[in-house]
Formats: sequence, C-alpha cells, structure tokens
Amino acid sequence: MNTKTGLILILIALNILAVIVGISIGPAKISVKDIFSVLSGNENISEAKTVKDIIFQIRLPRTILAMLVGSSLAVAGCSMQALFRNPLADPYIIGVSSGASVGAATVFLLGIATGINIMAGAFLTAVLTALVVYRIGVVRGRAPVYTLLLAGVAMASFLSGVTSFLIYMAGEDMSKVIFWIMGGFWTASWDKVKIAVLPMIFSLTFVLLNSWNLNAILLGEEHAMSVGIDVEKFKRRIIVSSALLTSSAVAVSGVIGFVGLIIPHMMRIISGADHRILLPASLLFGSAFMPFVDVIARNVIEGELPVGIITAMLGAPFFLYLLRRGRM
Amino acid sequence: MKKNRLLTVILLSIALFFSACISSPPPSPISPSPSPQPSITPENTTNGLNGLNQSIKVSENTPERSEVLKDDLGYEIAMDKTPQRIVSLAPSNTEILFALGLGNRIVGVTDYCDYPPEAKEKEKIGGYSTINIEKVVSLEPDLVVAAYGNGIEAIETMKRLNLTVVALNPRSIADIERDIILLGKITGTEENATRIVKEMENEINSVKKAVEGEKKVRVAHIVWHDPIWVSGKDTFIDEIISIAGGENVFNFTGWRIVSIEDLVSANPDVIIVSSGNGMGGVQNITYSWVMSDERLKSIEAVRKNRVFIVDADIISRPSYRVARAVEVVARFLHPDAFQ
Repeated sequence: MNTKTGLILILIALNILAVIVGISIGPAKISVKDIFSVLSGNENISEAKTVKDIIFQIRLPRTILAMLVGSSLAVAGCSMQALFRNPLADPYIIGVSSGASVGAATVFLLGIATGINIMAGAFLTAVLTALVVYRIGVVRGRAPVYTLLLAGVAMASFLSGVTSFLIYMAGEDMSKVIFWIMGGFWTASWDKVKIAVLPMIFSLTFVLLNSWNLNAILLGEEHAMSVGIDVEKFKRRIIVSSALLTSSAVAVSGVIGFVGLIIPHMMRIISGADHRILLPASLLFGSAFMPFVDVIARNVIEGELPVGIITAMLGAPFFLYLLRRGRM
Repeated sequence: MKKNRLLTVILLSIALFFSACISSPPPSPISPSPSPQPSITPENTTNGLNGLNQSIKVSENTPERSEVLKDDLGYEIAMDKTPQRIVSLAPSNTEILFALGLGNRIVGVTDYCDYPPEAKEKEKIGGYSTINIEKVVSLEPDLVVAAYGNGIEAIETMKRLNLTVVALNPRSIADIERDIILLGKITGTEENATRIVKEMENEINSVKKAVEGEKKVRVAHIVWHDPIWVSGKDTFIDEIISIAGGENVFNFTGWRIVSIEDLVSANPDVIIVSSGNGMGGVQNITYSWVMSDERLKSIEAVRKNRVFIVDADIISRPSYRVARAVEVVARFLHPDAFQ
C-alpha cells in the first residue's frame, strides 16, 4: 500500500513539474524570471502584455489540453487492453483513429477547415465508426472480443484506404491533412479545452469507477459473470466511454499514436496489473508525459514537429528499456 | 432494445460535445489594450474555395480608410495605422512585401522565404503548413500576412490571439495582382503596388503580343518523376502555359500521378520540369530521368530535345515574379517569336 501511495505521489509531482515546464519553455524567449514576475502580478516588466498572452493564451491551454489528451488516451488504452485481453490493443483498436482521419480529411478537402469544422468532422466520424464496429461485432446479443477485434481491424483498413484516397485528391491541402493525422497541439486554445473537458472527465470517471470490474473481466468473461457482472452491458459501457475518450482526444489533437498503447504497459511493469492502481497511474502518467513530449515538439526545431513523431521516437526506446529490465 | 440504448448514449455524447462547442463564448480579447484595436469581423469563413475570392471593394478614387477592405478569406480588414512590424507566413508574401519596399518592417518570415536574399536574414517563425504561433505572437507584429496554405485553423487561432491577420489565397495571376494592390493599400505603399502590377501587366502583354497568331504548343509540366506527378488545370503553371501560347496536355484539375503510358500517349511537344520544389532545394533528377528513360524516347518533346527546366520558385509561388515565369515559358514554347 505504501509503495502505491508513493507511486501516485511521484506521478502527481511529475504532473506539477509538467505544468511548470509547459508554461516556462517555448520558442518565444521569455526568461523564467519574467514568467514568475508576471505570474505574481508584476506588470512593470517590458512587454508584460505579450508575456501574459503567451503564458495564459498559448502555453497554459496547450499544456492543459496535452494533459487531458494524454490521460484520456492512456486510460482508454488500458481499458481496451483489459477488455480485449490483448496486449496489442490500443485506443484506436475499434477504428476511432481511421474514422476520425476520414472526417478530418473530408473537411480539408471541402476547403472548410476551420477549427470547429475539423473537430466536429473528426469527432462525428470517430464515434460513428466505433458504433458501426460494435454493431458488426454483435452476434446474437453478444459481442465476442475476437469478432470485435477483427471488425475493428477490417474497418480500420477500409477507412485508411478512404483516407489515402482523400489525401491524394487533396492537392495543395495534402500536407495539412498529413500533418493533422500525425497529431499535435499547435492550435491548442481554451476553446478546445472547453470542448474536450466534459466528455473526457465524464468518461474517465466512469472507467475509474469500474476498475474492479476490469480486473474481473481480465480473468475471462465466465469468471466475470460468475462474480455477478453483466458482462455484455459492461463491455458496451467500457467501449462507449473509451470511444468517447479517444474521439474527443483525436478531435482536438489529431491521431497521436503510441501513448495509448505503451503508457498502460509502462505502468503495468511498475505498478502491477491491478486496475485499481493501474488506471489512476496510467491516467497520471499519461497526463504528465504528454506535455513533456509537447515541449520537445515545439522546441526541438525552429517551427513545430507533429507530436506523434516524438511520442514514438522517445517513448518506444524508453519502453523497450523498461521491458528488458522488467524481464530480468 | 440494448442496441437502442447504446445509440442513445452515443447520440447523447454527440449532443454533449456540440453543446460544449456552442456554449463556448465567442473569442474575447485577451487583455484590454489602451490603444484602439484593429477590428476584424469573421465572415463566411465556411465558404468553399470558390467563395474565398469574392468581395474586395477597391475603389481607386477613395483612398480613405473608410473603404471596406476584405482579404481572400472574406475577413474585413480595418487598420487605423500603417503597420510597422510585419510577419509574413509565405514565401510569396515575403517577395511581395520586399518588392513593396517594406523589407525593413518585416520582423518574421518562414523557413522557406529565400527571395530576395535579404529575407533569409529575418527571424524564422517555422514552416509554411507548420507555423509556430507562439513565435509569431512573441514578435509582436501589428500585421501578419498569412496564406491559405497556413491552414484556416491556424489563421483563426492567430485572430483569436488578437493579431491583425490578412490572409491571401490567389488562384490566378489576376488574383495575385489584386492581392498586391490590397497589401499596398494596407501598408501605405499603394504607389509601389500600382507600379509593380503595371510592370507585371506590361511583361505579360508583351508576351501575349509576341505569341499572338502562333500555333498552340502542347505542353506537359512534370513536377516529379517517381511516381510521375504532373500539373493539370487550375494550377498556376496551367495559366502560365496558356498565356505563353501553349496548352496543357492534361485536363484534370490539380495535380495527379500519371503512368508512363499516359505520358507517352499524350505526346507533348514540350515538357517543362521544375527545378527544386518551390520550397527551396535544388534537384534536376526529374530532367535527367525524362532525357534518359528509353521508354520516353518516342515523345515529340524528347525527340526534338524540347525539355526545359524552370525554376520552381517562380512558377509555383503566387508573387509578382510569375510574370517573369510567363516570359521564360513563352521563350521555350515559341523561341522564334522572341528573335
């Protein structure tokens, strides 16, 4: 129990650090001293207004959005891995990312790519895809996980074909579609935070409240049934909340790969497979990891890198390291 | 029954999502500023491409600030003073701004802005589709000259941060000229703008005169060779080719991949290949490929050795230099007309 509390405390500390780093480092050369003097209400330094704008209207919403997306993807990934009893499951396994890409690419192709249209297009097609995959997966009132898994994979390859077609037809908008799919927070704003925060908090709470049930289902559906869980109903609810988490994340930040797959595994190596600790740990680590990665994405080169590139290039080696150590 | 409940949950979640969209208040000014803010009214931002170019009211005899100027995305521009700190978000914009004589007021450009050479000395604000908004804000510009290629979303975000953004989206040479005049009006360099446009017109008219009565030459523009990527209608090069007395052998809209067979059967009289890709970098690999691949030997252009390299920067950037591209291409198509 003590080590678990310790782990959670460390993760909370990491989150606080993430916020501090997130608002302190950026391409605009503002000294940490200036930042703290502005934060403490000192308006006397030169360019106080610009510094305030950059901190409160650019860096802070960006950091918070990254935290929300990170935790949503990590929790959705964790619950998908438990539900499918498959270590390769990730938040996108029910077709959400490929669905969202079709929606976003369509919006770009129509030349109406305002922020709200991109979000609405991506979110709608993402939720719709998850719904279709689930409906296909249901056989005689039950949804066997293998059928769901295969339905998701088949749907994803169909939709990625559609996306490739749309990208090909996009002409001068091609690069924008591709960059959107790679994922990033470069147009983060308070509006996006407001849009994402409700469905995310709602679904995160629901999944966390069901961590014990996820433990049960990990041991097999028969076992879960024998301890009194309405398995089909439970599966449906978990799928709906994961789809909501993932669709909201994709709508505000594009398809950020890797986080939803690897963060639950990292935490599993550290905290063990009990979802009552694994889920909060994944949530907290996801929300700390993402702003750090985003800081790298916006500072490593002049301009911006899509954040998905860094999550994969940085996260995978770290995970492999943990994997080796865990084995020994 | 159960499925219906699932549907309900999803519909509810969609409703939740959109209620959040709607309830979020309109972007408010970040912090009140003592000086009067230039006001920008977003209008028909959801228009398709076709709607983007309309409604610029330019009346030449009323130079007062009272006239309503709109940019290419339909946003009204209201400026009460001449901008002193300008950020350019496209190589073409940078070229135009320098030509207007505003070089010393430019405080930020993209990584790809390399013309005129002085542009390379300016502070960089990132790529073209990947501009760094924080960097733009930190330069404290009083005018940001954006382009459709920056993405409508990025443009919106900058407006929300109270930047004065003018977005350009020229689709033809006439559009470029109109945008040059627009920038001239905004920056108080209208005389220079008029002169530049006049020069463009003169250059283009003299080309038109020279190729008048010449037989139309059938042209293919090859952007890249692996896969073979060519320009169709509704591209700048297509307009350049037709003014220069040629016609594009490919009739689809935009750019597409074609097969060797398509290229051979189109049998163009002249092939134009781009050097570089319009974003800097030089490569003439495509030219060597066209000249050396055995399967292309039967093409008229290859047989008669009429394959030409054109600087991608002048044919793909919508700046005043496009007039020069017209002349360069015309000389390739009708060398005799320029004796």
